[in-house]
Amino acid sequence: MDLVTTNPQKNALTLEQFEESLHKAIDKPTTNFRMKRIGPSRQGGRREVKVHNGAHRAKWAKTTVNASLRTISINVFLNFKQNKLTTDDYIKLKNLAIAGIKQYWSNTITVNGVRFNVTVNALHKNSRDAIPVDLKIEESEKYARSMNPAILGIDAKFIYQKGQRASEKHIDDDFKYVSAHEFGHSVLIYVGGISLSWGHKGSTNALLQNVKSSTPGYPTSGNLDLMKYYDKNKRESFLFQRVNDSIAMEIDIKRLIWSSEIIWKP
Amino acid sequence: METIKNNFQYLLIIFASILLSACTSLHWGNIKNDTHNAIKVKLTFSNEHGTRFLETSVKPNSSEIWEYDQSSLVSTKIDKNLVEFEATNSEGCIITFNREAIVEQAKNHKQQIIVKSQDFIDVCGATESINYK
Repeated sequence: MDLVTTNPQKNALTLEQFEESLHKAIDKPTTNFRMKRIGPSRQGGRREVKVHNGAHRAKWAKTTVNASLRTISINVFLNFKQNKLTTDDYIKLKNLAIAGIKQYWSNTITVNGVRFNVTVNALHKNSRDAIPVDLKIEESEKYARSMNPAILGIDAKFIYQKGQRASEKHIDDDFKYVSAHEFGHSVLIYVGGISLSWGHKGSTNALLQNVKSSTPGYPTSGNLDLMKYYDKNKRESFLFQRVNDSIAMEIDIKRLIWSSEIIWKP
Repeated sequence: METIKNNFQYLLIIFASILLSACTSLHWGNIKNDTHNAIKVKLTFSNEHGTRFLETSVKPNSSEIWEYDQSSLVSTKIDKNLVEFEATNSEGCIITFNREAIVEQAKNHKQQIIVKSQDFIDVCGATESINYK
């Protein structure tokens, strides 16, 4: 029998440590703070912690942290609008968008030395609290640009490139990627404003959307930042690399948690 | 207040559309293998940033995609940086398209480069490789 035993309670991550580490990681220290009541009230454990003034106020996201299981579940709410789509097309596009956000935004993150498995669940919510999204189909051969300005309540546009000469799987996969990327603009603008969001984390000009001269081409291997642009003139996106190799970076998942309301389960 | 907000939204959308239309747009280049066997393809891209190669195999009756940005002002829609395309079948027969042949291929097949069994038969006949140059 070991003489030294560990006390899980003693080493357990606290909400205060979680908050402090998370805020520091995304460069939002709690120097300008407010007191925020966080935690399950029915267990009598509802407490007040210091959070940055802007933190945890987005109504379109809700995070549940289970500290003992080391899991984080984030529900994000989008209002997918059918507009002129047939019901079949609407259901297909909505399901692809939901699957895409989950696929690209679920990952692992480390907070204060503790590794968490993060699952992001996109949910349809017909409410003003949700991110408004127009689902559209582009029938022509032109690749239509999706967008999410994420300001002034302007609807995001997720466009399915039906007219492209490619397999249905390629087109579906592209739409899943685009949905995840465009959703990410709501996160970036909430945390860092127009320059971070429209500027694709410094890789593009915020207004013209063209890549900067300092932006590298697609790397030969490895993961790509879901929210950045790469200069295809320096190296093309080979074999659907943009779609196959992109993933939300750890800092952006932390930004998403920072934006959302947190329910803490010790 | 609501009217001002709506007008501002429309102005913003118009402004963004003008800006976007002036920029380059994304294109998909599609390599389609219309033969009954897997083929190896090699694409050569060249511009002021240097020369790059894409080498991969394409399963029978399937396709692979590369992506490029190009201004709508460029007259040929197929990637202006693609200077050579090479396909090799399982018997080692090689077909090669130079830029002129690539543009012709893309024009005939609506921006796709399609490799057919007949291409290898036409070019190699037996086993030797011949270039479309």
